[in-house]
Amino acid sequence: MALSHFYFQVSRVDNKHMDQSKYFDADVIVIGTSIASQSVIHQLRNTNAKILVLEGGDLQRTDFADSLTFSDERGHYVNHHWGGHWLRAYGGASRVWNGFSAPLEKWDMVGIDGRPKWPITIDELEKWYRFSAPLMGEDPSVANLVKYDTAKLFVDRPYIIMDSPLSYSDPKLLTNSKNIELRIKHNVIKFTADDSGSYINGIWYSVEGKVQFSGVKKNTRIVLGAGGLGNAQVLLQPADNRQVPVGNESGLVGKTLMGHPHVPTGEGFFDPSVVSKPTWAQVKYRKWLPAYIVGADYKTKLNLLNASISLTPAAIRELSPNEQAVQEFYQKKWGKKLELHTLYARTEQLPNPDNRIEIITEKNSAGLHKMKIYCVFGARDMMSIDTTARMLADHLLKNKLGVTTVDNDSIFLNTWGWAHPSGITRFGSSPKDSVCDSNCRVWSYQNLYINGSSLFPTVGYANPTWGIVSLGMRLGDHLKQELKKSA
Amino acid sequence: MNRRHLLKLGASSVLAAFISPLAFGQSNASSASTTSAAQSNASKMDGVVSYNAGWVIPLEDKAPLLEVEARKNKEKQESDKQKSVTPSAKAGDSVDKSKSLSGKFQELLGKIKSYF
Repeated sequence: MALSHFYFQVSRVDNKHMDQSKYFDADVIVIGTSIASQSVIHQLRNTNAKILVLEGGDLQRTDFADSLTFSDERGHYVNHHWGGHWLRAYGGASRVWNGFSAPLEKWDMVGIDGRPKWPITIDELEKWYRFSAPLMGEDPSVANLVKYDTAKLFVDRPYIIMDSPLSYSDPKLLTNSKNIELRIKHNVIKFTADDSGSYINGIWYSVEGKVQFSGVKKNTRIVLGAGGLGNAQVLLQPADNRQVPVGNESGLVGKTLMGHPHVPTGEGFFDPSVVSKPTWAQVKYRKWLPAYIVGADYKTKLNLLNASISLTPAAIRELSPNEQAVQEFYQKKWGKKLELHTLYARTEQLPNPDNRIEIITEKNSAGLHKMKIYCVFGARDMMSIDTTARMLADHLLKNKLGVTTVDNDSIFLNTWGWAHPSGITRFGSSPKDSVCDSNCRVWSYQNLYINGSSLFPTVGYANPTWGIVSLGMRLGDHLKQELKKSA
Repeated sequence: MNRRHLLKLGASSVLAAFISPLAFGQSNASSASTTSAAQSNASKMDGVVSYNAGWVIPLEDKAPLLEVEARKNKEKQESDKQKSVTPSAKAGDSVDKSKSLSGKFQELLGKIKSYF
């Protein structure tokens, strides 16, 4: 592109403080260094593409960077819950959180019961689950858990306990590559677009609070991976010269925020086979946690959300007379030994537009308008936990596999959130009901892509990290093909 | 209304009770179909109950389980009694000591409070 043409584009951006001579010279600008961004970069590392990586935080956590993730939290996820799951530091949240991960299933993705559809098939996602498993330190066979006998009432579908690999906190992974430039303490604030609204032509950002601007070439691809909340925060920042913020032409940015309601549902005495390693999926397990889900056909029939109940051995303690009685009675009745375990439910949250983020007038130290987050559980979120727990109790009892409690007060009064922010820049098949297309590109712009769990139209019941890495690798692969075409 | 009227009313109501099933009653066949419809609309009962402390059990297990629990409670009470005989004397000493300290403190606090 001729330089003069570039200057012409940049000069249209309405801000007198803009330095017209400054621009980011790169084929791909990756914003953020989380596991999502590093998955994209992983696919581009061995190409000739010039990659610029902008990280808002430092190489380690700082008070300044930690202050950026505070928000006004309304609803069931409180006490700095969202901020506590979101880091402005090299490596992002994956430095501190690992995950009880499980893959999504076809049922999660096909738009059952009014949920938005995923624009990709389960077969494609399964392929990327398989490719990305080694990045999570797992054997590719863990992707076999995607497909199961959907007609079964309950399926033993364990969580894969994925430890975040230490390499995600080591910047050498990026800095050792000649085609990658890493700039830390660069907090992206918002984008500017050309007059036709087809391309991103500039980025406002701040370095230690000092706001700056750089132009962006038309053929530079930008990948926004500022976090499940951070992505929407950037796309909601008001534009100087237009009513609609750049990136929120759909009006959907910030809406249908989802996390995962969690709650202990009770305890029970179980036959050891209930917690034994599942053999149906031929998986090479490393660390896993026994868990059960309702089969897809029954979920549809009973109008349930996707909930799972995991079992962990109960802490060693003296049993109450009530517990002793139940154990003794059923051991004698069924003629087998029963062990005490606790039951813990995790469920998907229905994508509800009332659960959302908004921005407020006050700005944070990096110059971004702060967020107000509304996220409450709905009746179906909690009823799905209760129904799944009761059905499992009934199922185990009828098959002489276990006897359990289902704690009403715990389920309906003590359910709490687990902040896996998802859904607020969702991808889809039509610009009418999604922010991004199936390749994660913001519908209005030729060169702006979104990366991370904010893309998820539905969230399943498990930690999203594996899905994030899968979609990140898929996006990296797409960009690789695009760059090949334009070369 | 005199006695004659009352007798007439009684006789006619008895007659009506005999006649009405013949005049308006349903055949055995239609009764059967009604029963079947009623069954399909009947409340679903699965025989599983939430018993003491939230345990989900079959209804028929409730009574014998309560018996086992009563026995376990009794055993627990007896074992608690036995435990409390010897060690409680020692524990009692320390409780008494702490009580005496805390008692003194409470007394002092009470005196101070009484000034206000």
